[in-house]
Amino acid sequence: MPVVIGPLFEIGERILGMLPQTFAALILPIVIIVIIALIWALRWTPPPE
Amino acid sequence: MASFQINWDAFIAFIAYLIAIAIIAYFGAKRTRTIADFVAASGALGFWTYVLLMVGSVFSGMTLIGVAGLGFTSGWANLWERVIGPAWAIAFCTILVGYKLWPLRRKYNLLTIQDYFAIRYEDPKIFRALAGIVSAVCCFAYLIGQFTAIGVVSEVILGVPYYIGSLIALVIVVGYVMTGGMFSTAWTTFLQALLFIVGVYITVPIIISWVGGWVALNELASQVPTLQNVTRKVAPGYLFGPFLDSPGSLESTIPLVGWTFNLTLFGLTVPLGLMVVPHIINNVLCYKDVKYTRWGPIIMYVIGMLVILLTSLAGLAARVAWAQGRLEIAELTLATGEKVRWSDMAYPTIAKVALPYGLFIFLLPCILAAVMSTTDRLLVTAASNISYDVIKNVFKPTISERSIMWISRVIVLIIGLGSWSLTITPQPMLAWFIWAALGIALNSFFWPVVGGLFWRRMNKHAARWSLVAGFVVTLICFATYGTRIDIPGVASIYAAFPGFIASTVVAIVLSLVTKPHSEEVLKATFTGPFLRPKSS
Repeated sequence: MPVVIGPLFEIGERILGMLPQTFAALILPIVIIVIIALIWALRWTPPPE
Repeated sequence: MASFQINWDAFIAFIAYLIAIAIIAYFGAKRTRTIADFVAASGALGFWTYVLLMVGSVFSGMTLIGVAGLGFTSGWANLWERVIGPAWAIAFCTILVGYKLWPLRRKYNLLTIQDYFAIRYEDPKIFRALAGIVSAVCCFAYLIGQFTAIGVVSEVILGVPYYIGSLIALVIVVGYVMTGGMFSTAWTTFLQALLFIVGVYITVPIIISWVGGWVALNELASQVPTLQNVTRKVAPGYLFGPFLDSPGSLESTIPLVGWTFNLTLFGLTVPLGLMVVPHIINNVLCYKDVKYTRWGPIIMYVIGMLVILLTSLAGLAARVAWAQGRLEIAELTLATGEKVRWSDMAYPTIAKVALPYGLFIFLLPCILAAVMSTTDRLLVTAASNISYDVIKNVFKPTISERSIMWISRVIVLIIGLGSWSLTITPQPMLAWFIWAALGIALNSFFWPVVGGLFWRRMNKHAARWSLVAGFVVTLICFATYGTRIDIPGVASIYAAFPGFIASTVVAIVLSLVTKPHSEEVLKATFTGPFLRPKSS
């Protein structure tokens, strides 16, 4: 029989159900890496042969 | 003894997949005429073939089975692996190594990274042989994890015993790698990568929805300690229960989820090890045009990060459902007699109950595709290391193309059979095999590759001895401590970390106390702290 326990947290304490620190640890590095890769692509020039 | 019932629908999907792969591999085999074709597809891969080769090589059985197993075990506590792990490694390997090596590829016709070492370190024999052998060892350890993954999938989806499924896949992969080398590998990987990317993108959202949706998944993850205590009668702290919803622990003495373990494994070994691991780094010698290094990295990162993130969420969803009593995860009896939860079963097991039947059957070729796209690359790399780098370039430079091709084929067979035979007794988390291979790769190749490209003082002695020190210390640590080193009251760290310290100290000290290579060599190999050499 499935067991489901009701939410233990007040609304606003979580972001999409995640702890704020978990959400931040996931999203921030992804955003930073994508920005770096984007800057690389936009500033890319071919290496001299 | 478990009884098995073959799922004939899955079996038909399995056969259809293998026929598709065999047809593609046949065209790869027709295209393969020289050792340059076999080893590096003669540097002729197009943009999407290269991008998907990188994605397909780095995402493997480890990802779809192992990462889901890790998600089941530790949830969000190892999320670092998802953001700076395999996807980061292939993107930045393309930027830091692929882009920088392009002019040298054109100039020296490099086929393997050992070709680069021979020129950069003016060491065409000893270092090339050392690096070739260590590289083959890495690939061998990695292969064990891949065959384990195939066995897991075969048992859950196909309904055949663990070792039979992996044996069938072994025969197919070894067959097409023996005949088609890198062309067959790259072209089959194109289809395989597409299959598993689509498979993960479609199936995991359905699995999350089955658990109750994104918000419910995360809230339930935080309640697993209570849930598993109520339904499974295990302690709230069982299998890292309290850490599932956090990004690790600030307590350094906890293995796997503590910050020191996270740092030494997921902050160091996985991203940097994958960046220099032989079957990835050799891919950057296979693409046709340097302009692929422009948009390739961001595309690889976004596609890859989503694959690994979603896969880990399938594992976390399985953990939540198991804790709720909605899902049974098989037990595995270890060689010691101890019974443990078989984490690696997480993704296929939850898929079986959460997906519509047709999609569940579709998952089999998707997971096999992920496994086989890495397995074939590993076999090509290991065979090239022994035949091309060691036999041809060190012992017998006059050997004919035909002979070396045949030697490569025999080595593919031997390595395939050897690594498969070690998977007959499975482990609960195949991830440990992969992490062991990455530990060896990082500690052996990081300094010779990164030091060689970007540090002018790095020389032959530093490269040779840092490789030897890293390799030997890593093996000693694995043999002595297993997967982790616990320093009582201080920290728990990944067991490969001392090997990295050893290779780093040896590389830096020897580089500083011995002479660098001549200015002529450093200039000819574009060595220095830059990505783009100044035009002369």
